[in-house]
Amino acid sequence: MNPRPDDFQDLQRLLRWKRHEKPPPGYFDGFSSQVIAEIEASQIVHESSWWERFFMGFDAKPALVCAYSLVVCSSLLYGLGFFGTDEANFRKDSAAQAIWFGTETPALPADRVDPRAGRFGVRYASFPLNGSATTFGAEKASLLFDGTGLNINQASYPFIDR
Amino acid sequence: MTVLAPTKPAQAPATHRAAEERVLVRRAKSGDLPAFDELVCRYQERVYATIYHMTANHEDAHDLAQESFIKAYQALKTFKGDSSFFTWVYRIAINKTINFLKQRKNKIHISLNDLDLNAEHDPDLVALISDKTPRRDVNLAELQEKLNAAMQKLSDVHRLVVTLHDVHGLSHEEISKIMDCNTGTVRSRLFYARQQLQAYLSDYLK
Repeated sequence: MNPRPDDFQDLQRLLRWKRHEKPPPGYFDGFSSQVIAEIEASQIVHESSWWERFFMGFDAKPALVCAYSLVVCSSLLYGLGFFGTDEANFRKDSAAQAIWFGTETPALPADRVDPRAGRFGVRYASFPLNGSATTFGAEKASLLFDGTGLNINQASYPFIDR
Repeated sequence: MTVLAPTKPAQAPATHRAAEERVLVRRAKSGDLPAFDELVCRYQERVYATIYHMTANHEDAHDLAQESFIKAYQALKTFKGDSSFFTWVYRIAINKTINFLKQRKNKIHISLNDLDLNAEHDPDLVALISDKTPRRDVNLAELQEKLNAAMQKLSDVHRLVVTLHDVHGLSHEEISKIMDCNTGTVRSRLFYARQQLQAYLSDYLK
């Protein structure tokens, strides 16, 4: 393809005429100062601390405030719901473990559950730590072996004095 | 910070202007806003006009031209001086405009600037109308509208080449630097764009 420049002479004249399309008089007088003002404003935002920028964003966008509030509230509600089900699950787990290890003792009654007890039932010093307070929520240690019928006797050997 | 006195482009020799520009860029890089203000003043009309001819919308051209200069200031540290500051700013403006046009897609809203007082007596127009056009009673506002509508029918890159070459009078080499392509591509795009425009504006050209 070999372009012939003369073919487009009239078109070029017409296109050059587009140079007469101008913005309103005095438009460029304030253009650069607007650019500089924008730059200065962005510098101020850039230099401000993160929480100032965070709240500045809220000033211009009320919808954003609503969105943030919704997120915070729903997280809170979810957290509360999770805590409630966690406690119920702990009680169920205790009962299931008691059955698995052959104990018929249900989970501890509510008045005996240590309020500081965590998810895995670790209890602290408010319980009497004697032989009857053992792991897995069982009331007696011997119950662990009841299912197998093991009988443990104390062995005694006479001391021979030479 | 010192404020530079406005320079008179036509009076300053090219080399002096280039040297002065390098000084302004160096000062602007170090955060001297009046120096950057001077650079904006130098190129604001050309940058604005290019974006305006690409978008055919004054408001869009205003916003995009401002954003381009702000972006240029923020990215000034990355400017290494391989090309002139003008070419570099132009490239930013054109990339911004093309991205904008991609998002805008077919939602074209034309908002044209008024023609200046010399438009009616422009030798090019006078020659065009009196020599060949049968439509001697052509209405200038209508002609402007048709011309812009025809430009909007071109693809972005073809419109850009026509704008830079035929409206702003840049050379093929300058356009190739701005568009980051070779001069052969510029020439072929220009030829194709002119052919298209010739077809769209046949009523006003024969």
